[in-house]
Amino acid sequence: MDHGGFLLKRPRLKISTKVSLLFVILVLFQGAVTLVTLTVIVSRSQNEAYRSQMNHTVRGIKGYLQEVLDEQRINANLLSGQVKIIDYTDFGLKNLLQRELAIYRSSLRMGSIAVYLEPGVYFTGVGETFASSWISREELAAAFSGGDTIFITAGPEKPALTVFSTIERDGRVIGLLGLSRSLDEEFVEKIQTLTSTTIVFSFAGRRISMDDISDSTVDKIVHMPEMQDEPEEVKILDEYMVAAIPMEVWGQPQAVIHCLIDTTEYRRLIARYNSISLISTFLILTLALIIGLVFYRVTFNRPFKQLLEAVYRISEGNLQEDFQTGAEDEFGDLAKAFNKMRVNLVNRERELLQLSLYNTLILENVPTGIVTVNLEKRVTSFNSAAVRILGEESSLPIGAVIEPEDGSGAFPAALSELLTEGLRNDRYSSGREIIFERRGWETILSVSTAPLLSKDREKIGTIGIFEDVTKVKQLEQKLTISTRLAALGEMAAGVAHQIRNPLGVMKVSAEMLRDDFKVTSKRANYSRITHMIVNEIDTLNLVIRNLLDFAKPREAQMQLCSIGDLVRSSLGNLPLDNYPNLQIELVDLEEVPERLMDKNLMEQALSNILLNAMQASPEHGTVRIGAELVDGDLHIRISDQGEGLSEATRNKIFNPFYTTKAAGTGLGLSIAHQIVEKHKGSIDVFSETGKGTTFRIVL
Amino acid sequence: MDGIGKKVRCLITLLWLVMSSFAYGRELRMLYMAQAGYQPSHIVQRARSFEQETGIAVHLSFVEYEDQYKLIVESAAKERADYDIILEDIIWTAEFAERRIIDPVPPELVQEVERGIVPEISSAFMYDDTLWAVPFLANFQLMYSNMELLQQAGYSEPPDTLEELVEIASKAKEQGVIEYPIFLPLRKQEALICVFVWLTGSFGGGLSNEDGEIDVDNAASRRALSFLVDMLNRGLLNPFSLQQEEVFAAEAFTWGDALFTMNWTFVTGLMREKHRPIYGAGRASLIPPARTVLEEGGRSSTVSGFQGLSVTRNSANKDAAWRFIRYLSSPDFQRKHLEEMSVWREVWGEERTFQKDPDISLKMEQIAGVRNRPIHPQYRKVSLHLQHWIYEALRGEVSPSAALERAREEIEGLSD
Repeated sequence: MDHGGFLLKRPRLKISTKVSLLFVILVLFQGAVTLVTLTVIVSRSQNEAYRSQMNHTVRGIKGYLQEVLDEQRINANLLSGQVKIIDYTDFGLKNLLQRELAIYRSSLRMGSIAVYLEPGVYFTGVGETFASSWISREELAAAFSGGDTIFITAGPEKPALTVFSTIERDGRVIGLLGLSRSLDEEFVEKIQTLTSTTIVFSFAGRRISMDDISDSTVDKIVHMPEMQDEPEEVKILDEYMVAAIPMEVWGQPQAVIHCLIDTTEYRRLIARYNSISLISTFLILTLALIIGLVFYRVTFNRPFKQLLEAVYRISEGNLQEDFQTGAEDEFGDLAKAFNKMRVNLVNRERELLQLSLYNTLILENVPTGIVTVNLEKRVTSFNSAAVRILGEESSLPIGAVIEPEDGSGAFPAALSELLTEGLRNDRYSSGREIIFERRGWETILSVSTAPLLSKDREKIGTIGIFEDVTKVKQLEQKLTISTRLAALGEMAAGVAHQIRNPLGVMKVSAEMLRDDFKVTSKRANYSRITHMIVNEIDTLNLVIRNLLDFAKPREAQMQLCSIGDLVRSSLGNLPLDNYPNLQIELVDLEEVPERLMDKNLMEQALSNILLNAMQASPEHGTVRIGAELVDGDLHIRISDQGEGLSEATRNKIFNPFYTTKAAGTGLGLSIAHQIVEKHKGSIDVFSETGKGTTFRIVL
Repeated sequence: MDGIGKKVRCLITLLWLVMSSFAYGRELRMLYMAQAGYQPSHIVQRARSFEQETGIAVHLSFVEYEDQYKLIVESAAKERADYDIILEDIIWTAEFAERRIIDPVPPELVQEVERGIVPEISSAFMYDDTLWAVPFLANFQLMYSNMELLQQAGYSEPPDTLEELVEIASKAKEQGVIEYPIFLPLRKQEALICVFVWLTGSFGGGLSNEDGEIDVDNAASRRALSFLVDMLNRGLLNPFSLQQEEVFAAEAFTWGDALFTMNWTFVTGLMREKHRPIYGAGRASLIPPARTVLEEGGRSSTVSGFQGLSVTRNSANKDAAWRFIRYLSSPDFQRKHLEEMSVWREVWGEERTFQKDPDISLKMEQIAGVRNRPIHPQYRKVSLHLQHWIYEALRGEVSPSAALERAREEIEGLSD
């Protein structure tokens, strides 16, 4: 999408960068959240802590007051139950009682102690803060009657917490012992020490505090509207946290203890703490970031890079190196999986290679030539059989056009036509024969074409499949000839057998006439005629033998034979004396290895062909005999320099009884042909008029 | 090895016996009462001086009064006494003499005693015309008054008679000066008899007749007991007195909870202690007799609590013991420790004595009227019977006359 010419391109970010950025963002986010949360939490926590502390303080103070009260009660009861207290009270021993009270007061660290004999009648007491006038008659009466025994009494300067206990003898109240504890600075200081708060004790218009807190400040706090409701509930004011604990007597608050916590310092500390938190959070985050990045680098980035390099190596085809990381984490697992994958890839590659090689071997070993051509009529592949069949000079390199415009292609035109036709057609065609000349020899190919389709069934070319059926055709022709020859042979054999016996009788008769009968006249003619009869009969026997040999050849008895020896042996069977000026040339006969052949039959075949060549050669001609291996086949060539053979003659040359000579049976080449065929070979004749003839035996 | 060990053990034992016997002849053991007069440290110091002078070691044992009698009696039962010298209460003299627990005082000492000690004191240790102990402690009772309370009651001088005593006490009570003006040690023990003795004397009588026989039921004794009962009933006498002995009574007085008390002379020392409220406000005076006694020319009576030093009969060091007794009870010692009234007349008249003990004249006059508790070998039993009935009368269980009559009957039964 074109944004008016400014194409925004998203930059490519590496994972490491993304992770790093994410980490930084997360760390910063976490730091900010932490800081804010901490600040809020600290602030709230501090308030809650203060409130909790204050509540704890209030409970502590109440508990302390209760303890004081309980202690007072216990001590009062203890004292009032002492025998001496009872006795001295009962028997009016005021001074001794006072002495006793003084001892108890000192040893038990009690406050003021007073003994009353009856309401309003103060007997004696100890302690400076106690005075009989501090307690009203009503209060004393109540105490005597066993009523409320706790009072907050107002001394001249300090209030006192007084607990009364009756002094009894035999169930009779004889006095009242009052134990007072000054609610003075020491009392306040004790509470303050226990609670670590500022304590302001207010009673009857008087106020005691151990801290330097002004009355005006206390007044201001105490008279705040918030302090009027539920005084025992902790209130958080601007500078103080306050709670009030009323001390009640007869259900009425007589005194109040205010607990104050100056929160100024705490607020200042909180602010300082926040600053420190901010700095420390920043430092910690920075450190965390550094550590995280280092950790990421070590635990992820480095092994990832190593993995990437390994992947690149694999992508470049290097499957030999393992991915080593040494990590025991997921990367370690990944390394193991990667290496396993590598091994599998190596194996697969090997298998693919083997498969490819196998396919190549198949293609290469298929005797059928395979050529693929793309839609541009360019060769895209071909196999060895194609090269062999077409011949190297006819093969085209990959990418070459099968029908160059300049007609320079050595590709057989007929084949090119069929391939081109195959490109045009989408159907499969088979069995179409083309004939082209290769190395002077006529080659017949059976060609099939088929469209070459891609995986998506789209035509991308054509496949040309062709095989050299030249031999097949020749075999067919020879089969036809052989069939005919076999039929002729059968017939000839039958005739030969029919003739042979009479010829035998005739020969014997002729030999008897020649040898046993004496003529009286024309003895020379008689001898000549009889000898001629016998010779002709021999000749007929020879013909018949040849005919029988042709009609019923013997089975070949194969053995390794040297061509050279065979040729020489064959030549030995020939009347070379009859051709004194004829040159016999042996070429490379020793270059070919021995071959399995029937020695006698092959000598006969070679003899027949050599005789034919000698008979066809001019007087001073040369008969050349050569041998070579061609594609594993043994080629034996026997060439003469005769007048050559016409095509018609070539076509019949191996027919039985066909001869161009005045003499001869016409079976020699047929027999040679038969023998060669028995060796599963082939025999061809190549000849041009005036240029001699070459017989080629292929075994 | 066993034989040698046995010999060594025998030798050691023999040596110890020799040393013991040798040491025994050079050692004295003395039983002294802890709360008796003279500070134990002074006695010890005197004993150390004796040791230095004579080479005779004196081992002192200070015991409570209640244990003293028992230890003396136990020691007497042994072949060799645990104690060579004992400090004995006069009330034991007759019994110890009768039971031959103690030896008579040697004549030379008797002469010294007769010369130097007033007969009122020395006679207390006479039984069967024999002096059995050298007087050592001149304990007797005086009357003590809280002058502040007295002045609050409107009086400036202690009473001279029992009647005045009652009058002042009543006034003080009425005025609310003090609930119970008088505190006396009337616990059912020997202290009760002591009060009874001086009170009987205050009414002109005693607990022995002219023949020295026990006479607990007589006019004077009845008046005395009736007086006590009356004081209780009127609320002049602190009823707590019935539960207390001399020390507490002294405490009650010296702490200002009594206007009057009668007690042993140790109270004079307490009155000089500054921490006591009585300090500067207490005054010792003669125990007031009944007016009639005075009118008849009688004098103030008191009760003796003398204690003397005796040598036990089974002591193996009698000579040394008498020697130490003489040394300890000498005027030299007593004039050095004038916090106790000396038994020696010569010390009484010395200037220093007057300086140290401003009450010496009073004491001298009071001791002239000393009355002894019955000197009788069975005095302890007599005392128990008498205590019982006096106490019953004080508790209001019986009348004073009936109480004394019963006491008499029981005491007479003892003789049988």
